[in-house]
Parts: sequence; structure tokens; C-alpha cells
Amino acid sequence: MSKFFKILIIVCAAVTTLVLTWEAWRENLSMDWRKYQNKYKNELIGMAQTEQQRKFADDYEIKLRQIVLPKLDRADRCISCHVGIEDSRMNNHANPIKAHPGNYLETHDINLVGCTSCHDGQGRAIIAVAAHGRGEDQYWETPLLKSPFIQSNCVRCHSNGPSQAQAYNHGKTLFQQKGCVGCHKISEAGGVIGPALSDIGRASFHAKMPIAANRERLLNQFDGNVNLAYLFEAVSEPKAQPKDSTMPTMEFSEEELTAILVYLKSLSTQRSMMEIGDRPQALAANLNSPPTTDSKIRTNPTSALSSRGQQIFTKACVACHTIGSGDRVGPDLKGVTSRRDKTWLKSFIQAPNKKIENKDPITMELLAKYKTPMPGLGLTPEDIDEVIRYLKNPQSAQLIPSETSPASPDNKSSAANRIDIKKGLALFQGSQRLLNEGPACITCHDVRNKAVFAGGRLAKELTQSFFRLREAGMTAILKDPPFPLMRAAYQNNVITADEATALTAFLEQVTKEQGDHTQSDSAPKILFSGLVGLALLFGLYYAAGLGRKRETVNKSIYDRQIKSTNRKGIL
Amino acid sequence: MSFRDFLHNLASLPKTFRDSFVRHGRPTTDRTRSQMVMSNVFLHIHSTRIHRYTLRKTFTFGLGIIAAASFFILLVTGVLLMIYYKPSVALAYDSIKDIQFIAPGGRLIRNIHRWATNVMIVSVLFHMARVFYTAAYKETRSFNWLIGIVLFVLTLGLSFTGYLLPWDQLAYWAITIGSNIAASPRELTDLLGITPYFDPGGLMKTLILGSEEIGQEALIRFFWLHCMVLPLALVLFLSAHFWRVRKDGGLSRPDNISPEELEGIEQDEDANSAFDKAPQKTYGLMCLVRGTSPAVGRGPQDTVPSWPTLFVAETALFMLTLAIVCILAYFFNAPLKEIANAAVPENPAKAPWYFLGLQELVSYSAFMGGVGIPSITLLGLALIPYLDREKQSLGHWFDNSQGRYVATASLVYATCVTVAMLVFTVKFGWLRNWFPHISQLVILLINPGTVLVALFAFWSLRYMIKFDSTRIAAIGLFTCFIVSFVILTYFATIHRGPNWGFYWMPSQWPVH
Repeated sequence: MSKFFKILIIVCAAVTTLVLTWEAWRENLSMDWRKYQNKYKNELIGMAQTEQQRKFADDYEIKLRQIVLPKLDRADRCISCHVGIEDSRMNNHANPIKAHPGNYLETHDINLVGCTSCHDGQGRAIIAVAAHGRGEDQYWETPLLKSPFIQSNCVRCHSNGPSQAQAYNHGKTLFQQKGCVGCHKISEAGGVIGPALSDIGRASFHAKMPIAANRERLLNQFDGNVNLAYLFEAVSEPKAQPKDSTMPTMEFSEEELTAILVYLKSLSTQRSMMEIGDRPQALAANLNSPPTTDSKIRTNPTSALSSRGQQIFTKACVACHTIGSGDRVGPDLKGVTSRRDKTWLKSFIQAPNKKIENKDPITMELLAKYKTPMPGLGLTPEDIDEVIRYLKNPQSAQLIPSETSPASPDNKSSAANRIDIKKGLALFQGSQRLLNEGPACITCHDVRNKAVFAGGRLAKELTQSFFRLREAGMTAILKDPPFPLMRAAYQNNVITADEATALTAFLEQVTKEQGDHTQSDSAPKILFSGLVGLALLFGLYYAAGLGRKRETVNKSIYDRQIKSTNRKGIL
Repeated sequence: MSFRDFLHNLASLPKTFRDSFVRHGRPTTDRTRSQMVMSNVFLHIHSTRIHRYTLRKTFTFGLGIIAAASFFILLVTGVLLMIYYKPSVALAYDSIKDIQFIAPGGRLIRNIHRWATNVMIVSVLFHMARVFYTAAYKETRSFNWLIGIVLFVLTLGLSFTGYLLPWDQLAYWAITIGSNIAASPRELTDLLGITPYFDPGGLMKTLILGSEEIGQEALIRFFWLHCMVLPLALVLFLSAHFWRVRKDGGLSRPDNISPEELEGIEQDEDANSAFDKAPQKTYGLMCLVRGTSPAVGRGPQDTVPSWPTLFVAETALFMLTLAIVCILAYFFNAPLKEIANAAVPENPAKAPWYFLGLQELVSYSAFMGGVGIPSITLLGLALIPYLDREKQSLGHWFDNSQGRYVATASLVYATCVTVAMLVFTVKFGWLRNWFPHISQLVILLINPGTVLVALFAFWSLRYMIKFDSTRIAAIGLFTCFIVSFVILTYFATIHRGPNWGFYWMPSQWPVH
């Protein structure tokens, strides 16, 4: 009896120990990434020529590797297996230690972008099956994408799709040309006969899956990517599910089908732009405008470079400066490169504050003329070079938005209708939240306007701002603030185009009203209402005490006692 | 001199340390064995001697110990999981993924936690059935049965609150169903048109979730319940449960035990001769009290010291539980689906498995399935020892041949009735399908769930009259409920698919 239990203890202890040891071995020693890293290390040792290389190879540590990108909500451990991904010497090796093909990593720094931003897959996993997330039973929304479907992720940062993403652009054009848009809606545009496709790229795994008859075939075709398999079925066999679908079977070539799939896979309502791509492009995002299909990769380096300078100009400078459209807050920069010395220009853009501190004569003169000091923009020296190069030769200066010339300040004010002004007021005061949850303007800014009550004093007073900036400048600042503090405040909670319009309209109104109304200070009002309130309060206290006894309760007794003692002559 | 003392002390350190630790000699005599138990705060919750009948393997099957062992395993693994788990909507899912993939031993610990939960629920259920069928809830033990019911509810509560924490689709929608079950009194209040004024269902749901929807509030609440409140409550009640087993005179056992029943169990020869001469010995006073001094009717015949026999058996059961959950945990990962997404409902959304029987009933009538029938069941369970007070011999499975007959008959009857009811409901529908305009109140009162309860009650009542015994009636009713619970749980797990439709197999579920 007791013997039975003793044997049971020993057997169970042995089993438990075995399982624990087994798991410890599995988890620590038998993982695939360990094998791959060892293989890579051996390659390194084999390739080492110099003593230093040999030492480096010997010191190469076998460990779990990851790229953690909190802002992108990613922890990509892919590089634990794909360990040679940045090592161009590994070009001819087999996966997973193969180097990344092409030169993508030169423009997409793996430490800033990670892996899953482009490739999808489960970054946190360290087992191939789970990391690639392929198959019906992996419960992962975004299985690994292969070329060309990987193009559908370019839009996560490059909102219009870079010209290199040919399949994507082709698909986007096809979507318009083949009349898909007639029945299907994407964001605000399109018909309502078919289901809206704004979020089809994120179609939930398991909820959207090919019918049983097609499942195995399509899953094989798309490497176990359930989402692509579903999209393929939906486009190529519309009647498969639901059976009563009215969608006609479209005539697509193989290539067209792929292009459409790439485009559909890219559609997502949760496309918060990642802060790693070209932001001006992102802001110009417009899903409804079909791109030109014949756009070729631009090879002319000067045009590419100058367009980079232009981008920076649009982003950082246009709020205050124009090129050939006259002075705004700051001077017109037409011909500035010939007016000023290049090194001076560069050092000035780099650190305007320093120039003021050093009482640089040109700077002091400019400050005297334009009143507003130029903020430091935090541009890198390379960026400044680009901008200066652009300023030297602004062939496409007319592209810079400057619809409102300073000569005709009021030609658009009628367009700023009541609703915009009202919304602008609400946004300014914070009674309506900004869509991306940025702080309300009133936290830092004040305007002199009877509708606005005591704003913040941290930043500039904005009553006259519209007069100085005009619409283009205002909108540009709001969309992409050049001032460090404001930039920090709205970096992750961008003000949307709508909100920018509304705020601009409101500030325009404020500037206009400033002429009509004399400045009203609210301080006397506060004092007056405070005094009245105080009087009322005291009145109330008095009223509350009206019916009360004024003397102590035992006064009569006390009096009587005093009286009697007095009479008796004790005191 | 003092240097020599020091050396001497150093040399005898192991001995002096042991002596300071146990304060009595090695457990080689009955006296030191008893002291071993009495002087140890953790062991003294047992009695120092136990009856040999308690050690019969087929009497308890060790179910209570297995339940307690799995709870202990859950405590340890749960504390370990708390190191990595972050109870925030934004971080919870990722932290579980990290536990699964990169935390040292994380996968195994999480899997053990999951499997031990299931072992605990199953063993608690079986333990309750064992106590019921051996009539161990009677006489002095009736209050301990009540504590047991509380422990049962706490066990389910712990498991249910833990279900949400991974914050995946499975968790999210299971808890959605669970909290909707809590809101089911609305069906009744809606019918009476008093929901705007009196809404206990909505109140209960809001109380559980901390908001209208499952979100951060619900997550932190569940975390708090799962990691703080419920485990503490369970530990307290569990201690009381154990202590009362000791104070109620050990496990229940028959008055007359035949020698065959004790065959193969160790015995202590001394115990049988100790009080032979004067079995009516009165014990000496421990202090001056009024009344007669405690008398013992029976000597320690057929008892053995708890140390080591009982403890060896308990350790063995603990190790068995541990080995089983380890094996299960190694081979079967705890489920983890996609991250919770309120916009994409799971179809079918199923509650945790032990609530699926209830969910089946809820599909007939929300109020009856969610509140009515569970309340009746719990109340009935709690009242068993107070309503059935028949004097009888304890400690035999199903009492006697009559009990065995009733249990078997009830098993067959409940199986037939439940299966027939399910087949009928799936095949022909229910009142709503035949009379589309019928009042919901009628359906609330007459639905497959209530009909089953009525049929079981009728069955039990018939036995009560036929055999003139409340115990027999209780056996009949208890069997019916258990059988029906098992069948409904199985049915809802396997045969219910999207939109709660009937399917022979999950593979037949339609997609889209």
C-alpha cells in the first residue's frame, strides 16, 4: 500500500524531472536560431582573412537578437535566424542566413524600420512556423508576405505608393479602370452596391477564409497566407462566397489579378503613417487620384536631389518664406543664395539663435526688419545643403503652395464659412478634441477675442498671426509645425487637414475681428463677479444664522446665579 | 576554552539546527510521529492519526488532494507568470506572446497553469460527487459541505477571471458571453417593462466589467480578482475546509467496517490493544470547565499515525498531479488566438468549457439559463445536508444496493431525457418557431431547460414517495443534474457552431 505510493512518487518525480529537463533542452539548446547563428559564425570564421576579422568571428556571440521599435509597436526577432541579413557577403547563401536581396536596406535602415513593417509575419516569435504565421492554425492576422505582395506594405509609410511598387500602382489604376470603384467604396469614394473595401487589407483571419473546396489549393498557392487566399478567391471567383453575390466574374490576366490583390491587401483604415517615410508625400495622400501607370523610376540624380531639397523646404520653410511671392513672416528667399554667402547661410539655418547671441550684424538687421526671430529647425547639415541647393535653382518654385498672395489678403475669407470658424473655435479652446488627440491650442496660445477666455502664455499670442502668415503659411505650420515645442507636441498626434482648415478659418476671423473690436480685458470682469459672489456668499451665511440664538444656552442660568450670589453678598 | 567551544558548536551545527527546527526526536515512535504533526503549523491541519478506511484508494480516489495539489501548482505558476504579465490592454497580449516565446520556461509555465486549471475544475467536480455519493455531507460535516460549495464557486470564478487576461479573441469573446450571462436578468425585467427603473442584470454586468464594454477597466478588474481577491478567499476557505475535516473526525466511514474492506492497508498493532481494557476512558481535564469531561466512545482501533502513511499518499498524489500537468503542458500549448478585436466577433463565441452547459441553456432562455437554473442548482446543492437528514451508514459509494440501483436508473433516465430534449430542440425547434407571436414570458417559463429541471424534479419526487427516503430522492436528483451537465457541456462544445447552429463536427462549420 505505502509501497505503491512510494513507487508512484518516484515514477512521477522522474517523469516531472524528465519533462522539465526536456523543455529546458528544447528551449535553450535545440532552438533553430541557435543552429543558424552557429552556421553563420562558422561562415565568418571561414571567411576571415585578417587577424582582426578572425578575432571578430571568434567573438561573435550566439544570442537571441531583436529590433525593438516601441513607436511602431514592434519587437522583431526575425534577425535571430536571419542573422546575415545585413551582411552582403552572405548574398549567395541559402535562407535563413542569406543577406537581404537588392539594396533596400540602404534606404530602409533595419534598425529604424524593423522587418515586419514591410514583410509582415509575427516579429515576436522565434520559431519559424509561428514567425511566418502561415497556415490555418497559426492564429496570426498578418502572415509573411512574399514578393510582389510585399508591395502592399509600402503604403504604410509612402502613402501614395512609391513608383517602384509597380504592382501596387498597377493595381490601384486597375481598381479605377475596371470599374471596381463603381460598386466598392474606399474611404469616401465609390459605390455602395458591393461591400466597402476600406479595411479589406486587414480582413480578419478565420472570419475571411476561402470556402472548403478551394481552401487547400489556394493556401498552397499563397504559401499558407489565408488573407491572400481569401482575396484571390473573392476577386477571381466572386460567386464562391456568398453564393448570391451579384459581382460579375471579371476577366483578369494573371498579372492583373496579382496587381489587384496587392492593392487590396494594402487597404486599411488603421494606416497611421509610420514616422519613417517621406512625410510631405504622406500628407499629399489621396487615395482617389489614380497614379500614372507609366511612371518610371527617376534616375536623374540632380532632379532627385533637388526634389529632396524642395521637400524639406515645403516642410520646414514654407510657413514663413516664399520664393518670389514677396515677404511673409520672413523675407522672400528668391535669389537669397546670391545675396548671402553660402557658409553664412548654412550656419544661420543651422543655429539662428547663435547668430542672435553673437549679435551677428546681418541677423540683427533682419531681426529689426521682420521682428520675428527665426526658430532653429533641427535640420542636419546634409538637409541644409539640399535646401540651399534647391534655393539656388528653384525650377519648380511655382509648385510651392502660395495661393494667397499677400497683395490680396481677403480673397478667400468668404470661403471660410461659419461652420469652419465655429469648429475652429471649439478646437482652439479644446471644447472639441483634436482627432489625433493633440493638445488644444489654448494650452499654450492666447488670442484677444471675446469668444476666447484667457489662453496660455507659453507660446506666441496669435491674434495677429493670420495677418502675418496667411492661409498657406498657417496651414503648413499646423500640418507640420516647425517650432520645436509645437513639433514635439504634435509629432505623434498630427492635426488633420480638416482641423487645420477650421483653425485657420478661426484665426482669420480673430484677426479680422481685432480691427472691429477694441481690446477687452477680462480682468475687471473677473474682479467684479468675484466681489459680487463674495457679497452673495456672506449674505447667505448671514441669512443662515438669522434664526439662531445669539447668546450661550446657559446664559439665563448664569445670570440668575450671578444675581443671587450678588444679592447674598458673597462676592 | 571558548575557541574549543566554537569548534565544537561548529561541528555540531547540523544537529543543533535540526533540534531547534523540530524540537523532538526523529519520527520513529508513535509519540514523535504525533509530535511531528502537532508541532508543525502546516501539518497540524491533519489529525495525528487517521483511520485505515480513509486510505482506501477506491473510497476517495484522492480527488480532494488532487484538487488542492493543482491549486498549489496554480499558485506557484501564477506567481511566476505575474513577473512578465502586464495587465494593460495595449501590453497584455504582447506580454503573453513574450511569455510564450522568450521568457525562460515561460511556455511550460503558462501551459502548466492552463492545464492545472482544468485538472482543478474536473477534480473539484468529481470530489463533490464523491462526497455526495458517499453521504459524507451528513451529520457533523454539513457545514463543511457548504464551505465546499463556496470553494466550488471560487474555483469557477478564478478560472473565469483568468480567462480574460491573455486579451486574445478567445478570451475577449468568451468573457463577452460570460458577462452577457450575468446581464441575463434583463430578459425578465424587460418582459415586465421595469428595466429602466430596476436593472439588476445591467448592474451586475457593469459591476463585473467596470464599464459597458470589455476594456481596460474590465481587464484590471479581472486581474485584481484573479491575482488578489479570489486566491486569498480560496486559501482562507480551503484552510477552513481542511481544518473542519480534522475537527469533524476525519473522513466519513461506516460504523461497522468489515476486515475485507481494510485488506492491504497498513495497520498499527498497538492501536488495537491500547484501550481494550477500558474503552470508556475519560480524558483528563485540560482546564477547569463546567459540564462533563469529554469522553471517547471508541479507542484508536484501526487507526495509523498520519506520519508517514497519509503524507506519503498525499505526496504521491501531488507528484502524480504535477507529472500529469507537466506532460500535458509539454505537448499541448495553451490556446492563444489573435489579439482581441471588438470589431470582429468570433462566431461562434463560446464561454469557457465549464460554462458551455449554461450557454446552451442561455440559448433557450437567457434568464433561466443564466440566473434561474444556476441559482436553483447552487441553492439545492447548498441545502442538501439540511434537507436530507436521514440517519444512515456513511462512507459507502451509493450507500447500498438500493442507492446503486437508483443512481444507475437516474443515469439512464437523465441521459435519455437530455438527449431526447436536445434532439427534439435541434430537429423541431421550440415554441418560438411554432408560434412566432408567443409572449417571451411563456418561453421563459417553458423552455428545454426548465422542462428538464421539471422532469428531474418529478423523477426525484417519485423516488422519494416510492422508497420513502429523502436520501434516495437526493441521489436521483443529483445524478440527473450531473449527467445533464456533462451532456449539455459536451453538446455545446462539439455540436454547436456559428450562430449556435447544430453541426456534427467543427470541420463542417461554414466560413464567411
